[in-house]
Amino acid sequence: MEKGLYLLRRFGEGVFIVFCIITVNFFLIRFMPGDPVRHILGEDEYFNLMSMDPDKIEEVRADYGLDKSYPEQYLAYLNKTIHLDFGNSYRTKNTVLSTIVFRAKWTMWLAIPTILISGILGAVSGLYCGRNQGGKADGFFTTAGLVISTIPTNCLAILFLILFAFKGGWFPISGITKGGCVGLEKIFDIFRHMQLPLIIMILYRTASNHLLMRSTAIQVNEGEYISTAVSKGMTERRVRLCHMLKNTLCPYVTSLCMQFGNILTGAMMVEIVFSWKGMGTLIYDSVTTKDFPMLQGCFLFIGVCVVVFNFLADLICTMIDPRIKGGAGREV
Amino acid sequence: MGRRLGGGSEARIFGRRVIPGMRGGLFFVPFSCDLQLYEGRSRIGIAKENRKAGGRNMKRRRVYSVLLSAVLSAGMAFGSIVAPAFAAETEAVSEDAQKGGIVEELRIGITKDIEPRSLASEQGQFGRMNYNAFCAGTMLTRDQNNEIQPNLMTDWEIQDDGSTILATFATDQGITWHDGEPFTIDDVIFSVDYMNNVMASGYLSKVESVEKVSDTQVKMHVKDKAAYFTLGNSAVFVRIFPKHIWENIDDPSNYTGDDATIGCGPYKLVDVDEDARTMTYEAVGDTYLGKELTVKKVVVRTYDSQDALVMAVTTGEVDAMYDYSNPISATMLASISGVENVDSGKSTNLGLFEILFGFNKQPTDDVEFRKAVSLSLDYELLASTIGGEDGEIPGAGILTPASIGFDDSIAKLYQDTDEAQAVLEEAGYKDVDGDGYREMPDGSEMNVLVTPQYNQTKAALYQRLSEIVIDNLDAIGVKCTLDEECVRNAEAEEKLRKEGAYEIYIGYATQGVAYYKTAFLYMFDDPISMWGTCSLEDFTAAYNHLLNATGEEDYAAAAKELQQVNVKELVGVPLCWDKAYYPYRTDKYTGWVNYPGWGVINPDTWYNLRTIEE
Repeated sequence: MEKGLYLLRRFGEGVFIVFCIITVNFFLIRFMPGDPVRHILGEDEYFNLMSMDPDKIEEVRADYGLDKSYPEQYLAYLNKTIHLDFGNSYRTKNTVLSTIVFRAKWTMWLAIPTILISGILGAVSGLYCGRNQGGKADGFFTTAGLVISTIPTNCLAILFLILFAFKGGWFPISGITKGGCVGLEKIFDIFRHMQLPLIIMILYRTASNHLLMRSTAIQVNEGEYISTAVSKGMTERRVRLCHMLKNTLCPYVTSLCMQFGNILTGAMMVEIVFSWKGMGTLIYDSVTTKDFPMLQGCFLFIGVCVVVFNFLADLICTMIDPRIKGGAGREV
Repeated sequence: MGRRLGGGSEARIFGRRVIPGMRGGLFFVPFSCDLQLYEGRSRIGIAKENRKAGGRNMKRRRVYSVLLSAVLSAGMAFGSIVAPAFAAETEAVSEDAQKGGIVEELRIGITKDIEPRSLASEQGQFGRMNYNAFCAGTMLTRDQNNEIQPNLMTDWEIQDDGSTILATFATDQGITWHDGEPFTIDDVIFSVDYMNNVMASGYLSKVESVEKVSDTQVKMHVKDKAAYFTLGNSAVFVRIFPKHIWENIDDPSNYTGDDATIGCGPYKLVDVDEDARTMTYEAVGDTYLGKELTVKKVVVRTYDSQDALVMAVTTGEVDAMYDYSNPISATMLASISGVENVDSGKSTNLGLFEILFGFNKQPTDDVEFRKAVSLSLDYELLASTIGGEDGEIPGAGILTPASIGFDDSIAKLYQDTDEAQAVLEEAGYKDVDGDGYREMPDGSEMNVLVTPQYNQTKAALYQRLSEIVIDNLDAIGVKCTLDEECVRNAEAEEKLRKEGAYEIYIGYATQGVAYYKTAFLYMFDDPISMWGTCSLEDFTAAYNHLLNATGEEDYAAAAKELQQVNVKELVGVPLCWDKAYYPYRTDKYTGWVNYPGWGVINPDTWYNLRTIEE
């Protein structure tokens, strides 16, 4: 019951946050300098129409309800948002929703394996190193993790691209697939193209996950219950898996879920370097071409994803740790 | 003999320490062992047990290491296993292609996206490829000497002193639209009207009306006697629209229907792979306009950057690159120099970086000041900055040697700071207050604004050029300020440009403009220009002469005249004549024709390219 109420409260908070994001999105385009229609149509088209056919600008203004009062505009905007009508990209003329769905799909191809693999690897190495702090493995993995975390993503990505793809020829240079393939052949081709960006993303995520898990494990390791477990004669493996892991999982899983929300911005640098047409490159292209309808859609999408995955983190944590019922807990 | 021990004590048996087992049992070992107990934590082990445990741990670690290595190796092996297959596929295409000399599949790399895809758009991969008389049927093309060549307009005659063009079209040669409908003279008449009145395109803006003469001929009535200008301005860019598709479309810029890509050019679009960002085109037949099509299929692939594109050419992923008015920069040359089977595609660039002077502002409206600026610049540094080793100090006439009407009698620009200072002194720009900077002739403060063109991809280069100009002017006592607002804000730069409020503006004259309207377009104070401020009488007369040239000879004469005007008036100052690089591969195909500043992908490619015979 308590748990249910807690989750319901968190869900309500999430809905409220999404509502705030939608509202901010509404005011974003209206607070920008210049005519909002200019941001909707794009500068070239706007100035072209201004000289050739100014009436068309007024038509667009009416179409978007920009000639109405703010409350009316807001209600119309809410109505459109609920019906998932985010307008058209001024650059490609395609609908914002279809473009985001298409791009998000490709980001998922990278994001899901990244989160899963780096989550497992980071947990294993972090837990081991946290338990054996100061050991050789700890020295190696932690140092490696720190080094990788400090190297800018685009630097490592370009280095890998040059070494393994361009010079080595082991991987394709860019893109999602070479084209001309169907069925299983296409899937294998996509796997081949995603190896290098995936390796980069897994390296980075594993490094940060390792550091997180390690620091949590060190804290947990100092708990009296761990000493008790050991002195009871438990094997090292059982100590790690049954006692340490459970207590480190909550913060770890929370971090993973929050990463999921962030990773949907597409690990922008990696996507740009490898020309992987995901959300990262979509946002980058939209910013450089001032495609405001698309940017608005992207911001909303990212905001909603962050909220959803935060909620998911809460849900998983309540499953892992029965103490979490929205109140205090007790020692296990 | 041993006895059960509890934690926290040390026991010795027969002089040897023994340690209780993990479960409280007793392990007696006939060799040394250690008991280690810690406050709040205990680690219990026997040396042998430790060794056994250590052995088990070591074994476990080895297993984990092997498993991890296997996973990583499997990933790399996967790539390396498939890579040869990819290479094999490449080889297979090449083998098939060599059978008859016909190119079975040409792969082109481009940095434009696969959208939009419409005959009405010049953006995107589709729009740019159509500059090569590709899918869209263009009226006219240009050859490698920049001379107008017939295409769908097979012949033309300028009549009535430049007021009429009698144009003949290939409507009797069996050409059809890619949906099967015949190409007729009605499509031509419709296209002119559509471009002028619906698309509001400027290419045919001088055409007032089109009169049908026969099923193959029309008369275009042109205002201002601008017949030659119309032909020159429309070559490469103007395409014919299918009337049966576009007559019902009032908003061509937003039309994205499937039939938006229907053209009557030699290649039709057959496939779009949005995941791979490729577009596949097939030849409409064995011949087109009486010429053999030697390339059967073209696959155009989009890359996000020129770096990726150059890598693709180097590795053989594509056969050539095409990037309208955007050759690879000199800094990328190192990555293609010395690479086997890759030609740099070097040619003279028609486009160039130049300084535009603001004629609405002081002191840039003063020819003496402009002369001093011209004399102060370090052209060697500018040339190497822009063009690397191939950068060339430009001539004072601005137009590059590849331009029609290039006047080779005009001397190159040179730096002479002493002469520059003398010119300023003579003109009254003296340092009155002794602060090291000159004042205006009326004694007021002089601070010249230097504005680089807003360009995200070349921002660093523009800023470097600005830096050089400011430093050079500083050396002759002219105080300058970099227009930082315009550097970071495209809107501010656009506003400044459109208001003509700049003083020293560093911009780039593109290839497309350079073809006919030349780099002088940017200086011309007229609605036709994007940002010109010069309305000097001799310059205006010379430029109008160019625009209204009656033929090629007249055009060349007008171009020469303009160059001479610039020597005298210094309306603008070129910064470098550089080379254009459009690399391509030489191992599979032959017959590449490199258009200066354009590259090897051009209207000639479809009829000249052949496989290399063994």
